Amino acid sequence: MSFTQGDDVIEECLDYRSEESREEILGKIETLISDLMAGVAETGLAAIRLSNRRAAESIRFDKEKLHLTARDAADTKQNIIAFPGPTILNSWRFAVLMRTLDIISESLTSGKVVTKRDIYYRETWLFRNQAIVDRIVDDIGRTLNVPRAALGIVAAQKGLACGTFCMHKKDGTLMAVEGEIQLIPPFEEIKSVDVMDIDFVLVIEKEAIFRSLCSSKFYNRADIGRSILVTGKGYPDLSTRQFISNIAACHPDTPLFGAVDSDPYGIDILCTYKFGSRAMAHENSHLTALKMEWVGVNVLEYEDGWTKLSVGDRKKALKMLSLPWMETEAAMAMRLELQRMLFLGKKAEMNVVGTEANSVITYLTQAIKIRLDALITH
Amino acid sequence: MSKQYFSTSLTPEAHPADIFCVETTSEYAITSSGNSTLKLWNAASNDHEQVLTINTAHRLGIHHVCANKELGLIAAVGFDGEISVWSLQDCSCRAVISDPKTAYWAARFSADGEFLAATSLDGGITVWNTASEDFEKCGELETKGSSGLAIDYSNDGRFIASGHENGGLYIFSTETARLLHSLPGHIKAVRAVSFSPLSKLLAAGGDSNVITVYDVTSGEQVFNLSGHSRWIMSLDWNFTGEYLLSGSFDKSLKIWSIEQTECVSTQTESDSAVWAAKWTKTAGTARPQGFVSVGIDKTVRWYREATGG
Repeated sequence: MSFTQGDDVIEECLDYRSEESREEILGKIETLISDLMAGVAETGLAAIRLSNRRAAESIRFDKEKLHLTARDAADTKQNIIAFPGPTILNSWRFAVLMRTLDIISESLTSGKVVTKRDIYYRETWLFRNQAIVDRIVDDIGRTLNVPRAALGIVAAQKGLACGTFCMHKKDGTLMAVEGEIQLIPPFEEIKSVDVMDIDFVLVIEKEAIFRSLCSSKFYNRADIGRSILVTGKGYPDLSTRQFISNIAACHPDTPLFGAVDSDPYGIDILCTYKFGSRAMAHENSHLTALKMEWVGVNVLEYEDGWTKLSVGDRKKALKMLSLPWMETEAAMAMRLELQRMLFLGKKAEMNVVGTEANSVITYLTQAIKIRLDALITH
Repeated sequence: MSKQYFSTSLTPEAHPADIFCVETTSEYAITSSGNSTLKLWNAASNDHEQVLTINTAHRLGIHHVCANKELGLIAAVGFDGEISVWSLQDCSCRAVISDPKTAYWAARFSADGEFLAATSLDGGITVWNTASEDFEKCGELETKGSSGLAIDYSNDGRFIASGHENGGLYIFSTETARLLHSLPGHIKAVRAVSFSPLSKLLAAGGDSNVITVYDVTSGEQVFNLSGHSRWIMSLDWNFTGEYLLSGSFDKSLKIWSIEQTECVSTQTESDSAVWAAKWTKTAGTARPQGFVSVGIDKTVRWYREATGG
C-alpha cells in the first residue's frame, strides 16, 4: 500500500489491513486443519508448515524504503511442526500451535477481539510465557499471509499521547485529546487521526520525561508552537508504531522528532520507529516513519553524568552498526553517535543533560527550535 | 616564555564524519574515521594534499592508526576489534589480526619495527612479531581486566606502557615481560600515554583533565601539568623531548614546556573536541617541526611554529 496525497488520504492510510474478510481467514485456517487431517489419514503424522518470521533467511533489506521487509512466502524459512514429534518439545510446540489456532478461530467467529495477553492467560500452563504466544501469533499471521490484526488480535495498549488532537474511532466515537495524557488505542480501532494544524510531533523514549513535558505544557508553547507528544515507554509496541507511522504518512509536511537516551538502546528505539524491526519485517512498511529526525540527546552534550558503557552496551552498539541501514545517509547521525559512545566508552541518560532540574526541557526546546527555524528559512 | 604556533593549512571535510586518529611519518599524516578508509596526506608539501587512500574492510570504522616508517607498515584498529596491517609501498594488506575472545583497541609499533603491540578491551596486551609471515603472537601481558585505552613503546625498545579505563597505568619491561610499575595518579580513564624520546619520562592523561609525568626507572611522579578543562584524548612528545603536545575534549591543543613544567601555548582553532594530535616527523629534513590535529570538526589542521620577532 503506498501513501498518496488526496482527500481520501486518511481513509486510505488507515485501511492498509488485509482485504480478506473474517470468513476468508477462517477459511484459510480450516484449510490448514483439513490438510493436516488428510496428512494424518495418509501418513499417520499430523504436520503443519509454519513460517519462521525472524529467521535471517526470511528477511531482506529494502534499499529504497530503508527498512527490513519479509521475503516472498516462497522464500521464507518454514519450520515443520508435527505430532507425534521426535521429542516432547515437538509435541508441545504442536499443542501450542493448535490451541492458538483454536482461540483465533473462536475470536474470528464470535467477532470479539483478544489481546496476546488474553491468549496467554487462557492456558498459562501450556504457553509457559508471554513470549511464546507473541511469537506463535505473529508466525501464524505470516503463514496465513495476513496482518496480526486480521486475526482478531489486538495489542494491549502501551503508548501514551498528549497535546491537542482527536481520533475518530471505528465504533463511531470521537476521542478528543485536550492536553490530557491518553493511552493510544489499538490502531485497528482508529478510523482517522485529526492533528489540527500542529507544528511538530515529538516522540520521547522515557515515560517520566514525557510526563514532565506534558505537565509543563510543552505541547503548547509560544516559542515552538503546538505539538503532539508521544511516548512508547521504551521500545514501542505495534499500536504506537502504527500511530506514528500513520501521522508521518498522512502529514508529510509536519516535522517528526524523536528524543532518546544517549545509549545504544535509545538509538535502537529511535531506529525501531524509523527503520522498523526484524520481528515485524513482514509488516514494516506500515510501521516505519523514515522521516523521524533524531534530536538528541547527543552523548557529547552533557556537562557531567556519564556512565561507563557496559560489555552488553558495546555488543549492542556493534550489532547495530552492522545493520544494513547504518551505512545509509539517513542513519549517518545515529552511526556517528554509536561510534562516539564506543570511542569514549560512555553513555548517558537524557534526564541528566544540563545541571539544573528540567534542563532536559530546555535542551529539547532548543533542539526543536533550531530545526523549526531551519525549515522556515529553507 | 611562550611559544607561538599558527595553523598553516587545513583540509575541512577531510572525512565525512569525526576523525578519530592521526599518525605521522616523515612522508605522511594518516587519518582514520567512522568509515573504512584510511587517508594519507602529504607531510612535505605546503598544501598537504591527499596522496593515497587505503580501503580497508573495517566496515564499522577505524579508531586507531599507527605506523612504522622503517617497516613501511600501517596498522589500523577497527571498531570491529580487529587489526589490519597495510604496506605503505603498495597499499596492500599484509595481515589481519583478530581474536574472537576479545577486541583490540590501541596499537603501537616498536621504534625498530620488530614488534607490534596492542591493548584489548579485556585489559590484556598482546605483542606480535612483525618479521614472521603472518604476524606471530610472541607475548601476552595481563593487567587487572579494565579495558586498555592507550599504549606506547619507549624508543629504546625496553618498555611498554598502557593506560586503562579504570585509571590503571602500567610500565612493563619488554625484556622480561614483567610488570615494572603500577603507577598511581589516575582513578578515572587514562586515554593517552607517551614516552619521552630518551625513554626517561612517561606522560599520561585522561578523564582527570591533568597530565601526570613519571620517571620511568623509579616510577615516581615527577610533576603534573594542569590547564585542560576536559578529558585529555592524546599526548605526544616532540623529538627533542622539550615539549609535550596534548589534545583535549575541551577543543584545545596545548604545548607544554617540560623544563618549565607549564603550558606555553594553547591553540583554540577548533570549535569542537580534538580527538588526536601528533608532532610531524621532520627529523632529518629541513622542515621545522610542527604538529597536526584532528577531531570532531572533520578537519585536518597543520601547525607550524611562528618564527621571528
